[in-house]
Amino acid sequence: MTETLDTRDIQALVVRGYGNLHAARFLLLQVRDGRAEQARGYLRELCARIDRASEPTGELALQIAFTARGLAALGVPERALATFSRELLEGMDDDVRAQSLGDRGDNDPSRWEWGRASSPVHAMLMLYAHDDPAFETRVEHEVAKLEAAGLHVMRQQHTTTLRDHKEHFGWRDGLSLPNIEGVPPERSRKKQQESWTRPIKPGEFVLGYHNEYDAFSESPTADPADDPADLLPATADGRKDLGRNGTYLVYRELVQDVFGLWRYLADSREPGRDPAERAIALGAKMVGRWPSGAPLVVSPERDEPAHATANTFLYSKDPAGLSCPIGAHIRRANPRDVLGSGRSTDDSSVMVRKHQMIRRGRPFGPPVSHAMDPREILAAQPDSVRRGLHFICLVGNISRQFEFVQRSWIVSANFGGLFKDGDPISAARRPPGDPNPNDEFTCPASPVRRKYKGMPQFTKLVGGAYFFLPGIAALRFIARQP
Amino acid sequence: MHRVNAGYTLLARLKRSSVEAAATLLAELDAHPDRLPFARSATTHFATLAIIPRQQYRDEELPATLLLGTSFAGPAQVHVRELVRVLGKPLRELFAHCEGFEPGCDDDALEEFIAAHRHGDTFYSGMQNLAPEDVQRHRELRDAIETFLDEQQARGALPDEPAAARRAIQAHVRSRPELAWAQQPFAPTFRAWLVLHWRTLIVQGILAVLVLATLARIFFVHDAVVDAGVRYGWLAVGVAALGIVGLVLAVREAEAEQTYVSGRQPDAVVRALAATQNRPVINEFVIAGPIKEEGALRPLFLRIALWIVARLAEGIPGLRAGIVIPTVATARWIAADRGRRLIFISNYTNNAEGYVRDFIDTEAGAKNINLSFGFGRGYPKTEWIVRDGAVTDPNAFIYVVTENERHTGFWYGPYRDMTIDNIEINRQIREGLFADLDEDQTRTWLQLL
Repeated sequence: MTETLDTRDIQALVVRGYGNLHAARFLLLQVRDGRAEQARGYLRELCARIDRASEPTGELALQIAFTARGLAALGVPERALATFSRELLEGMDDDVRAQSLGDRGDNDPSRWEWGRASSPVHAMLMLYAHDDPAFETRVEHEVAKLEAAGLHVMRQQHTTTLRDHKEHFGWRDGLSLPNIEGVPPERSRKKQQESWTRPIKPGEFVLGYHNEYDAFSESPTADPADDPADLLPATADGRKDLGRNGTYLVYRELVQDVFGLWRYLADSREPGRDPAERAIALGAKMVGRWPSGAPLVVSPERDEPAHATANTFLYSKDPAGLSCPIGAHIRRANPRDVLGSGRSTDDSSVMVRKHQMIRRGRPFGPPVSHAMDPREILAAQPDSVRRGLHFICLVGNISRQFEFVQRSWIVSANFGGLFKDGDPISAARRPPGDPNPNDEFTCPASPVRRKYKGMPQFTKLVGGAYFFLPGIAALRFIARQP
Repeated sequence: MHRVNAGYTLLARLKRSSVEAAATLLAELDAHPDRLPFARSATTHFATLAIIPRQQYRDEELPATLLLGTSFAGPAQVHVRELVRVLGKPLRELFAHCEGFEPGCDDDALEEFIAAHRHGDTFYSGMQNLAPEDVQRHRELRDAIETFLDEQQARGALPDEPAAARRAIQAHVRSRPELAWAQQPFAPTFRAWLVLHWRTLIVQGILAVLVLATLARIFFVHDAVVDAGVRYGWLAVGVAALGIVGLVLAVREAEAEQTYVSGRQPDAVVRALAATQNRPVINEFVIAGPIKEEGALRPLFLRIALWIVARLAEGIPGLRAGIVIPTVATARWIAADRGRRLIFISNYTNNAEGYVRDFIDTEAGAKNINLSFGFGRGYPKTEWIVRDGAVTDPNAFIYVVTENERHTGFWYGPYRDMTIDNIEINRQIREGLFADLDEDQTRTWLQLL
């Protein structure tokens, strides 16, 4: 039976990415020592202004999420805090976790600009609005309110939107988002995105609902004694449901080396094509789509913008990766019906559905070319401007969804039977001398593959954290403590 | 000599006063692996040493036990003799903490001790019929071919036509004397097949004789001996079948009585275990715990179930291929302490949680796990042995695994940068290199590179 999401209690980011609101700012916050009560006062006031999934978006949409350290700083009782997932409690910068995620070398948490335990982020306020001059004023106003309430704005994360929904490397992004089962029709996007699979159970993304195992994901609870105002719904075992209608939010700030990527592509020695064409073709092999978004499985030979948003394709017709290489970015991030290793396509599909994420990222920094035309990017003079992607995803289980994909599919040198290939676009390269290098890219071809070796790292992680994006009732509970 | 893979599982009771000393020694060996040089063993793929702590099953104490589990290739006796020859000194040091071991014993006595403490297991190998030397050689072969292809492509000298490209690769391998072995035929022998399947073949043989005798009796043989044989034969089959039905019903009744299901384990403990299984490619873990206390016949049923799982894992000649678990290099289940304690050792791809989740991501996989793990104390309640359990309560499945995970004192795993997928691909490259392939097969083989 299909469950219907209680959208009145869910922050809207779960069901919409605010694609129509081109301006956005993410404020990383820290509760100042001794100012928790004032911070909670701000949150109590904020409850009425948070954009909910049940409401149409206004001129300014606000969303808020908390780290485990933030929940503790705000006075959430220890016994409730301990029921959050181990991933949230330990944090993305935990050493064991960083090793598992492949955050080593340039991506090592010791090199991060933010997100480390020594200067912890407590919360993130996300502001979305139309791109007009009033936006800056709104942000300034909100920053003033936060600071007055003892919520120090550690960083303002600026964002941008690029032409044709592209990211800075020049490829169209955000094409393969899962459809969530149980979103009321009036709240779903005007037209459900076409997808390679049927809608995914809501519990994969929102706590308190059935997931793809037909079970409930682990969800935080509170002792009834800690909820005297009866803000939270009761659980079946007599506790209070702190997780219901909330989700976990993963945030990684990735700086993209646009010129580095295009230099590498241009230097490749592909025969028989003009330099720009061969660079774009190799880039398409690495990404798995052409810059327009057209997938290689559908358009293996050339970019066909008519297929730019194609998303129903499967990999079982291309098992060896002759069209879309097994190691290509989109094939790793979502292997659809081919996990390899002798698994059937049905089993692969069922398994892959359990490792999906709702991505809500936004680029930052000015584009190399406003037209986002790969040939212009290729021809541009290198600069030292910082640009990249705020990678943000929502999951019901950080370990099973985000961390599994990152470790087993993106970073792994051995994904799909490969030997030394990490994700060509987004994997951190293992340092020289590492016994498990991941700096090759294998491009299947006839009669035999071509290998690209010694690939540099094209994205660098400069900060990150795990957050809890609460439901509205849970936000009220957090704001009422102690 | 055949290369059939098997598990050698040694369980030896630790002296009560020696448990800590044994743990300390294991930690020392782990810190100085050259003191326990499994790398000098030509038969060992993987080795695990762990201490299984004292545990309680009903009112019975299950003793603290030293576990040595090797995954090896070839005859067991050859493996044991090699272990004694290569690792005699450190093994004596370790076994000195076990009951009934004479520390100053000679090699024969050491071999006898190892043999006497061997325990049956249900073993799975994803690298069946490969010896450690094969795995290493296949890697060298692949590396040599890859380097050749890179050089040829850089010079534009590789033929475009698949058969010609393959011939160029063959010629290159022929030109390398150190790869001469790659030209030799490589396939499991009939003897290896017998060694792997002899238990199933005995059962199949008995059933085949019974069926043939029955047909003979019906159509043309009228003999009192055949009559009696057929009658008592089917009676025995019927009794066995009824026995299994009875056992299933008994376990079914016990399922309803189960009260304890594992909960979330302390984060610090889980993190500490996770830190030991964070290698990028292959990891290892040991799970050991008493079985569920409800149902006096569970220990017997567990042993029967694991015997059947073992045969399914090997494959049933003429009926079905062996089980393939894509993420597992080798694994084993052990019904220890007369079926009262379930031990599991796995050498697997991924980290622990990712690996464990892999099993239950499909309903069929979760049902298989119910059949093998479902007997463990704290495992979520099953229905009719294979239903529910991990299928409907995946969180509790993760909890029971972490609750029963034991610290591995020492691990030997030489293939640190290869998944079982990689090892299998390398095998196929070797098998196909000089095989007689048609055009399509040639194209497919070239895509392995």
